Amino acid sequence: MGFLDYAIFDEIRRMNSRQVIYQFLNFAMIVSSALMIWKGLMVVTGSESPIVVVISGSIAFHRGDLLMLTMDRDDPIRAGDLTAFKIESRDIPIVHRVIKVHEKSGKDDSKFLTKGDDNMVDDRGLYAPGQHWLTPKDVVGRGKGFVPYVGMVTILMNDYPMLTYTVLGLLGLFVLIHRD
Amino acid sequence: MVEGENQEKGAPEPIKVVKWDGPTVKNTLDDCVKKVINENYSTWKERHTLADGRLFLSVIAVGFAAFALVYDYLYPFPLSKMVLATCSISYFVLMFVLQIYQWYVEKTTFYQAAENDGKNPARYWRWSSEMKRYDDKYTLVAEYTQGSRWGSMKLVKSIASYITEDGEVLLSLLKKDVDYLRDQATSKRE
Repeated sequence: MGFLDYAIFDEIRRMNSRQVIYQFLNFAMIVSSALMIWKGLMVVTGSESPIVVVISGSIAFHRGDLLMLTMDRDDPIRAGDLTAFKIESRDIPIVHRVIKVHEKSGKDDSKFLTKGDDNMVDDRGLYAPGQHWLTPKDVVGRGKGFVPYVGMVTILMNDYPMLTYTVLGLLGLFVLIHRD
Repeated sequence: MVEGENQEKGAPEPIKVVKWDGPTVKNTLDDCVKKVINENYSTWKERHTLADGRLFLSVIAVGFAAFALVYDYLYPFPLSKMVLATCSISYFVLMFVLQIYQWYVEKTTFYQAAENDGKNPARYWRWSSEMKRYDDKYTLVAEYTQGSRWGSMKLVKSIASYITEDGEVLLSLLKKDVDYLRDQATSKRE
């Protein structure tokens, strides 16, 4: 029995070329919707990563929490703010509290120091070698809200990539072979 | 693929469907109506204007998304802000337009054709169908416009009239009803 002879492929075998094109467009539209929502969020929040998942937790944020970030360069960073920042050469942003701020006349001249709420010492040990302060350029966003547990799916998909490919592959196949 | 007493050499593959899967049954019956018409009515030529409209709208929408993706890749975030905003908004507006198009323009139409017998002005046919969830009643509607004249005829029958115990669609029975609808629609004077 050829691969396409199975009963679940009945509909797709009977589709003419227009319908096949529409099935692929349907799939493309689902992907595009997700993409446009993500990019839309980027524009609205002003942050490059409007939503991030907490990987290593603390008292305030547990592993698997979803964090919403906004980015407003005109709003000066103050001690007490929760900021998400990136260290050079590291991909994953860290969300910690700002404990010290040094400001000069221009906004871009400020320097600040962060510390995780649970940690005994400040984050200088995490910064790049020779770096003692963070600057506004390192900031990716400010923590504005969070949703617990929802991010666990992302963590699972990250830790088990085969799971991601299988789930997405099956979903894609389902959309392609079913009409409406 | 299917062996049975009914299978003759060279006979077309019998059309089978899972008779309990409502949406698939409706789609299959729609396809069979199209097949019956295209194979038997030689003066009818299938038209795809509604489907093409839908494809066109979808392609434009996906185009905006694709453009946004590429632009953001080439000129990363803060630079791409205006482009992303425009594309995002346009995309969702187009999605809305597409939805309106499907609800009000395309509606339940699954087949269009132009009937040209050479002597009279062309008749433009539109066939649509409906089947409620968990219901076995298939509603088939044939409508046409010819210049300023128009006609339509509706038929509601259980799918059991066309589908066997095994889920095979009997085209001959369906053809009878398709012929009936065509004749009735054109005989009523409007």
